[in-house]
Amino acid sequence: MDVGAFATDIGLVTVAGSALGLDRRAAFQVMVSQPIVVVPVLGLLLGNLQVAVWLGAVLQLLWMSSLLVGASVPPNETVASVAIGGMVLMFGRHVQPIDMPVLALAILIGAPLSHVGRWVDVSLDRANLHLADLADEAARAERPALLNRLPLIGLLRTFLATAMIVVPAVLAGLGLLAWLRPLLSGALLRSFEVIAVYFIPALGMAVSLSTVRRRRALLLAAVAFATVWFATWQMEMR
Amino acid sequence: MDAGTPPMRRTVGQLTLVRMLWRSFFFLAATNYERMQNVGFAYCMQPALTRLYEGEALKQAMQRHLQFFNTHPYMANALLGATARLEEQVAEGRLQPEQVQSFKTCMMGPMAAIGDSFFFASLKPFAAALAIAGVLSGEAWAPLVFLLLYNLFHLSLRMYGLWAGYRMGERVFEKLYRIDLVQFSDRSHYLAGLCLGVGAGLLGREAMRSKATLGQGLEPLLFTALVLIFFQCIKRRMSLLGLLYGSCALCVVVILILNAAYPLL
Amino acid sequence: MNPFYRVDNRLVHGQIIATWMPYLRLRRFIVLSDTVPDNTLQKTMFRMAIPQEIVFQALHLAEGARFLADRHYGADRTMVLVESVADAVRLFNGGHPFSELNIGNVHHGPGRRRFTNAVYLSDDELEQLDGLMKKGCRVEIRSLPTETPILLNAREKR
Repeated sequence: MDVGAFATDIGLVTVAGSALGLDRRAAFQVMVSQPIVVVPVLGLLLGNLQVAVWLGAVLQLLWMSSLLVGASVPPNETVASVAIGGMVLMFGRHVQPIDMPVLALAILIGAPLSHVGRWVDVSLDRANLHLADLADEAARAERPALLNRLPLIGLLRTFLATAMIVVPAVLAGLGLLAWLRPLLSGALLRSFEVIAVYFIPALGMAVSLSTVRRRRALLLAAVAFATVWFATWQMEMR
Repeated sequence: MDAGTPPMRRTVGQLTLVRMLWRSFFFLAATNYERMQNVGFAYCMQPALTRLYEGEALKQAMQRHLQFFNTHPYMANALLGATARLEEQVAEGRLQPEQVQSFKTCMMGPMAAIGDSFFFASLKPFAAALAIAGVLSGEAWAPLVFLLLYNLFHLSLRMYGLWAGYRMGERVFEKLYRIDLVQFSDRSHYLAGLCLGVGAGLLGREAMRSKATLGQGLEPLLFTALVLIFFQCIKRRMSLLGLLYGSCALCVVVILILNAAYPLL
Repeated sequence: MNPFYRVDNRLVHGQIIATWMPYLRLRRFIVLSDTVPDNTLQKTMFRMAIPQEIVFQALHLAEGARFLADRHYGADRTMVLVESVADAVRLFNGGHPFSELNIGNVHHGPGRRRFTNAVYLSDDELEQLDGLMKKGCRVEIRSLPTETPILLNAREKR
């Protein structure tokens, strides 16, 4: 294995993933932290856009209901997506070609990281208490310029915290993938194929449909689904 | 300055608004437990406050904006603009400082309601579902559509909100009333439903073409059954991870048993 | 459970409209407060944030207790919102004893203890809630419908 290329890849995943991760709660909120964007960006950087867009779409479906509303802190889908995307793409470059069972395995390995990410978000909110204290001090001292560096400290903290999850998660996940994938064969391999093609996308679709507010909109979804099914069936069966 | 002339009338000005716009992108960067977005609000107001006040008045103004604050980050801009206008009036002595505070408190809840339900709960799912349908039909650039569509609304509201807020002051809600994001959120749920339906159909097609095919074009049927079961489970508040691991374990077990019973499978 | 009683210091905001409203299929909001009914701006804002087809009312506490006791909301799925634990207790003791109370958001202040990210209660409030529970009211802490509710009885015994 080429150690230099490996190190570059993990560096790219970490820097790009953590930088785009800032978008989620710290800066901009232009939605580049959503799985459907962040995973394809990693795909572009590591040269496998095709797998990355599929993975991004499925992860987006799975975490569609993760809403940042009010004071509640939802699971962090960005951290999980960066880790899952990173381990899959690096597996493809350094171990063996990516197939459907690898994608299923990676999602199963990386999904709990959304909860690690939530715990980190909560801790960051607590760490930021001291920024509020610094702001009070700035006010007392009549020095408004002192406010300027506070958001910067918040950004830096978020970046480092994300990077500190992503690096070990991608390395450990990659190790697990490289160990588990060769163990899959026969019926077991078949079942992971089924998980990747049916179970995970269906779960994602169900999560996403549960965010649709109107009953008649669900009816519309059913009609659209039936139409696409019928059209494909016509084409494929011919 | 002569003792007799009134003090120069200070205003916030366009350049300050531009600086506030830039700062508003970091509105959430110092979000904390106790007072939520208070540092963000004060940070965004800082250019305006330093233009309007100095000394003790500046200190009080900063402290005023370090109180508890929590709203939607995009809608905050309309409030920032309006607050800048109100602070001008406070500086001129035409308004009591407490009125600025009560204006903020009374606006933050409803603004959060509008922003959360339009942007996060309606526009985001719709734009994402559209991009997902695009990706699944083979268009790798579809995530760009998500970004463009979402940010067209997001960025224009941020800019419009800040300037409209500054122009209108307390009456900024009249402008927002006219845009009527609330009714618009409802419509986008139909569009999201449509896109998700198409996406589900394309996932079914993918299953037909995969190695895990059932033959006779029945794959979407299995897919639909799974979606319906998962949907019911989610309605019963089962956790995402529980469903993910539970169903995958079940799948492995079932296939191993089937394989033992009918080795040809 | 209809109506649904909730303590939320921001009253109607994102969590309510984006999550609770579809979850409970709400048709009516009743805000009970000493200040909101007299604040035109705030009422206008709430009206704007809530979809047109949903009924919105802001009532004084005494008036609200009567309204609720007489079931004037009819068949509408209703959410009753108060700003503070104290207001909820006033409603309970002031002629409308409800059987369940949801505590959604009570933000931090001096002398308050943390229960969740969004709920901080003072000893005085805990005592008042204890009073409600002794009279058979079930008190839960839960910001979003998707969260697991924390029942207060278990944690309150210090």
